[in-house]
Amino acid sequence: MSHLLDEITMLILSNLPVKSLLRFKCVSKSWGCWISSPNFQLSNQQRDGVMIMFTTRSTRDSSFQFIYQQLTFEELDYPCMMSWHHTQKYFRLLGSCHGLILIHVDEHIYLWNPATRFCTKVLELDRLNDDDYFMVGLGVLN
Amino acid sequence: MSSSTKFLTLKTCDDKKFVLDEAIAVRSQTIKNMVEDDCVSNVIPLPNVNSKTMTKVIEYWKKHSEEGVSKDVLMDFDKAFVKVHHSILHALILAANFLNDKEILDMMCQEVADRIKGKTPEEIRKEFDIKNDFTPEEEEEIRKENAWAFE
Repeated sequence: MSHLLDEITMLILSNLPVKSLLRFKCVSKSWGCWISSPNFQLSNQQRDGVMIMFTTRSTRDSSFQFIYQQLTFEELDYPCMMSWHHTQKYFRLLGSCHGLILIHVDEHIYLWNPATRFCTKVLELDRLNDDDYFMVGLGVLN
Repeated sequence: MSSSTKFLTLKTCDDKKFVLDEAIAVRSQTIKNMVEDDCVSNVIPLPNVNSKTMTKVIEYWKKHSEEGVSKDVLMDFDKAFVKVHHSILHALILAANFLNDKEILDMMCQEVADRIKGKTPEEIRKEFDIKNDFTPEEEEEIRKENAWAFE
């Protein structure tokens, strides 16, 4: 099984579970690049089930859970890459869609894929005044 | 067989000819485009596919074109279909890619993924003939970052 076209390798990779993907990041630079690319990490081609995040403001810990179609719960084994500090005042779930989660932490809004641990800042709010408000949501382009 | 049935002749790279109902052959998007663009002469050459692989592809096409075949039967057929030596799997992927048959391509890529998902990076390099171009330090760094994936 050698010398497959890049696009075929990508197709194979997109069928792999997350744990294998993370392990294969060190196969070669090109594999590492593909697996680390935002497009790949933010896509959820075959990860079924709806993802919902529960957070509690009272503690520093947040709990993250998948809800599968059978409505069974599974504790997530994928800690978020951002570290939550007790200095962070504000933490809110804004929406989720196709396994991606939009979260609001202090002045920043992040798009996060817990399955790949990929997190990217999509918006900074620090220029907003205190009495400003905003609305934000998450959707999928068909 | 109705009188309107059209047949196409496919010629593989090892000069074997396959005569096939056009309605079945157009499962290949590549062949379908050729037919629609009217650039089909007597024989369609398939320079990237050998006869052994084409036989498998046609076996799949025919089964999936059968009338009244149940989902369960197709599922069992598919399960058996992908259980082939990895050299045939490889050839089928390349053929499905050339023929632009997304169904076969997706199924085969899923099968490869299932076969390699438990492997180590070293085994992957060997299997896909990939050169490790990381320095030991770089590799160690990535392994550390994703330590839980190696447990």
